[in-house]
Amino acid sequence: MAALVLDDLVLSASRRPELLESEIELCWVQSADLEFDKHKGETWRNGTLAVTSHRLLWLKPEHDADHQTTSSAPARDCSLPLSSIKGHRGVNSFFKKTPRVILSVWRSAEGRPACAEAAQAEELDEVSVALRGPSGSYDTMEKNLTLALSRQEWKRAPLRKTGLTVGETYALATERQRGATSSARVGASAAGIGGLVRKQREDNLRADKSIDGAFKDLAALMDKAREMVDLSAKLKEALRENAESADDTNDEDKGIEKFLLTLGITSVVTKTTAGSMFHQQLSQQLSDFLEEPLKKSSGALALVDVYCIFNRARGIELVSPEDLIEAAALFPKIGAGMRLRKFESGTLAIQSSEHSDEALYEKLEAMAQEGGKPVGIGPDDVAGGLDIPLILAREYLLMAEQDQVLCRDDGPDGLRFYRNFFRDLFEY
Amino acid sequence: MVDSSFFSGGGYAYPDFYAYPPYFTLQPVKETREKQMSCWRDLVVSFTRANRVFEFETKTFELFENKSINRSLNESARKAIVDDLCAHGLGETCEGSGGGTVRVLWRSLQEWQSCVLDWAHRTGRRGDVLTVEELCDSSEVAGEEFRGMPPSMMERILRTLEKQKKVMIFQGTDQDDLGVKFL
Repeated sequence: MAALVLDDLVLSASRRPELLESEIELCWVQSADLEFDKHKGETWRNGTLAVTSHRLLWLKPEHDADHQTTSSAPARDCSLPLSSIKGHRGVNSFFKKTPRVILSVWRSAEGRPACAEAAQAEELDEVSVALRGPSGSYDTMEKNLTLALSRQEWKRAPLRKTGLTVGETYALATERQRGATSSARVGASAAGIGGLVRKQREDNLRADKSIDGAFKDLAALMDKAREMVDLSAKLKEALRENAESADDTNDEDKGIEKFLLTLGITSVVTKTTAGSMFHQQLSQQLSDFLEEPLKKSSGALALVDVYCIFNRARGIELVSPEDLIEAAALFPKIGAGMRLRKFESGTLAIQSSEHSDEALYEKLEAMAQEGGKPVGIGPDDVAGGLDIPLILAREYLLMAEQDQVLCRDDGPDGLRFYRNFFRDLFEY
Repeated sequence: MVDSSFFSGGGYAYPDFYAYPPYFTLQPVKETREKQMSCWRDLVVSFTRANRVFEFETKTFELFENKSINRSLNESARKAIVDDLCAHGLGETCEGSGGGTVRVLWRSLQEWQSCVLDWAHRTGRRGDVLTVEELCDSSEVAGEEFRGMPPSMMERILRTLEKQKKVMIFQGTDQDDLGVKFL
């Protein structure tokens, strides 16, 4: 019998796994080996394992130094749907050094993991996960795996249907909350226009609650995740349709769109789920998340703004400023297309790697001229001209001054900056 | 002290950068400031020489304000320029002025000394007695470079010459009246 063939796992640019719709991560553990027991010798070593609501994810080590050339199937990032797991047992004995979780997996004739319900799934295979990481990894993984398996999230059909209006999505979301007890009972109070208005108000209230409230624990989060994703996806879609139908998309729509972009990270990286890998995971999630906002704001964002939009997108489990800085400081290590920048004044910002000071200076110098005549520019001009936040515009000006590109005029109009003609005077 | 013809549009051509507002703000970045100071140094010397200004009040010096662009150097900038002038031997603060009055040395003191001696020799003044006032401003010194020099500055020059036994200074009848005899 050939080895079990696991599904490929798609990673984002920052090596975060691409999750399925409404899939959320439950935990991460480091130094996990996959052992395909029935096929001796095949062990994928030292990867990173995640338990999500739908799958087990395994990421091969980034620097695959001890890559086994003898192996017929080299280690790769892979995933195993929880639906194919028949059962699992843990081996965590005092006498054995490495705790293991042994999974029995349904497999199809082609050797792929198969859903238990699928008729062709007749054979069972075994995969063990050896947890060589810090003590506690075993408990974490065992606990979360049991939780995920018992909840069977994957069995719930996605809420999303095509052609629903925003209102209907709201209604669906609230319907789920009400459950069977309060099904459509028509009473006198619900009749007529007054009744409709009242119903609408109640619905709105519930929808609000479902957005604001009660993401108390992981189990509750799993319930909510799907609804939230649906809601935000629906809103975005409706907005896009609007934009297409109306030729002139007004600023308000754009504003809302911008706002929605910052909504909705389904599976947030938390200390509970990521454990010791928290900062790295957070860094990866942050860099993926910031790609779009960075593009929209000319390649630079003040860290305070990042803090706000990132936490708004998380919704729950807010990150602390310290964690955010630490995560941002890891960008070079994870090869993200952005970096943390500290200005003289201590202001922190995140800049796209494409940013170059030289190009910036050229732009600033160009702005400080009007028809060949020198003019003074202030932070407001730069913020408007480069479409960047005021706080960064100010930093850029001071930076350019420091590098002798500009010089200051502390005149009656406040602080303005001019081309540094002193430098020109001494160049010849 | 300043030749008034200058203000009626005569003669002195300001450099282009005199119309740039940042020129009137003390630059905080060291390299830029050094260049700025160098520009000011050159301008002060060239302006005072062209307009035969020997002394100026730091607080009210015309050059430190450009009304046409509505800019004026602030106090610390003025002080920085004066300090820089002095450090380069191009100026000194006048005795007893509390640093408020600055003597610009668009000619060095040695140059002034030889200037005065040269005049005395040229016009056969050896043995003659003149008042310092006369030496500074009278028909006797018409057309000389030191004409219009403040008496205090002339005295400063003569005191040095006295030490070199080139002149003798004695008190006149009046308290302020100094006489000088070229030896």
